[in-house]
Amino acid sequence: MIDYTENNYATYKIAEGILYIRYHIGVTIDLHAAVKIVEERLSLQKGQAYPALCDMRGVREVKKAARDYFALEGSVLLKAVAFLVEPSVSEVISKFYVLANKPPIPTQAFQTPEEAEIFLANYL
Amino acid sequence: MTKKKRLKKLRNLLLEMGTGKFFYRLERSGKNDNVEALVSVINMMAEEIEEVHVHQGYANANETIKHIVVMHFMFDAKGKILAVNPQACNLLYYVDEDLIGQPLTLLLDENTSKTWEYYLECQQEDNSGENAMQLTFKTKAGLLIPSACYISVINNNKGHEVEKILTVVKHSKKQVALEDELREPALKIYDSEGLEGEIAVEKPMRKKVRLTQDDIKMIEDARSLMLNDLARDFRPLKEFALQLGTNTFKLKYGFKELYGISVYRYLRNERLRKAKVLVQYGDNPFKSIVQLCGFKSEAHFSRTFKKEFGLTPTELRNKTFLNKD
Repeated sequence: MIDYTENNYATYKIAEGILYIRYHIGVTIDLHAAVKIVEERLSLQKGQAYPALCDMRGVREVKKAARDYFALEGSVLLKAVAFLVEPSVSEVISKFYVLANKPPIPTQAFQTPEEAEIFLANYL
Repeated sequence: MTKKKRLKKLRNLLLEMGTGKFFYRLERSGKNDNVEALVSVINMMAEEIEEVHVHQGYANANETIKHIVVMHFMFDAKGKILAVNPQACNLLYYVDEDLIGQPLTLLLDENTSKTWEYYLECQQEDNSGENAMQLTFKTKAGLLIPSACYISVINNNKGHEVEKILTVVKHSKKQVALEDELREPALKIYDSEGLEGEIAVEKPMRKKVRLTQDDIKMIEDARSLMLNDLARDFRPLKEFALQLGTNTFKLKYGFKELYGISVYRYLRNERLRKAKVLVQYGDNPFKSIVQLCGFKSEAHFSRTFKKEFGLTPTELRNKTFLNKD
């Protein structure tokens, strides 16, 4: 089974029941990018729902249309999302997203992968 | 750029927002410090506010009419600016002498400069007339204005291209609109007196019910409940309203006010959105999609789907599958 894939924006990996998404350094996500990102993820998942650890420390900017897309279409087949962030930019983007877009699945931001994995373990 | 300069730009942007111009943005740097975080939140906030301006629902219910801010540029065949309207000069902090004879790239950020140059190159080979593109303008003071631009080519009577016109439309507010609105009923009274001589006062329009903060919170809750549980059957609405601690009228009326769409239509749209992604990119059997998205039956799902997207779920899945190969 293929459990690894990559595109211009991120790399994806499935391990021990968790979907790991790591955004490349310095990416700006607009609607076009958001659609590609979700499409890639869904084609890897093959209809299975996973909790996801989304390392967005490299993300520089997420445009409004992309935020809206992530909160609706982008949450399909995800049980929960843990963002891996660092101060200051990615942390604030994740906070804004959770507050303003109210994603329909449990979503929290963490600064270490260990904390994120503990959170996701509840949704395995 | 120094911290001081970045903060100065931030201040300028906030001042512009204070006057009702929410279409300016701040240029992002590659840094990862507190100022950059602030810049990124303010940009996102400006995006949200700009959208609210266009939204016709509750957020704007007590607003005066929106004013439309437009920039016009006229170009020669080589893309040099021939003329520009004063409004555009104002918004970009330039005087027209600075701009005339210059290429548009002077006013664009790095990325969209390339888009524009590419467009001009293509235009030399294939002159197709109308075009729309997304360009980001940069003011003299360094603020950004991402804009949807419409470009038309003006031909002379022999069919040769003479000029190009680029138009940008933006929303803003202006007090003048309010004054016009105030003047309106007075004029109507005058007219009706003149014509009929008896009906002096127009029937007042039914007053809009005001939503309290609690109502708005309740309606937002209703929306998240629906989004989080599309599989659930929310009928009858009366029960759903009770669960939220309100009545059917307030839920129905308030939802429409806040989101500009009825509760059931919203639910249907969101179900379809979710279903579309699952059909396109998932491999769940349709039976499970029907359940996951809360449709009544497969037939109902298929029918609604076709009505919305022009293809049945099977057709869409096959199409996506073929495209992948």
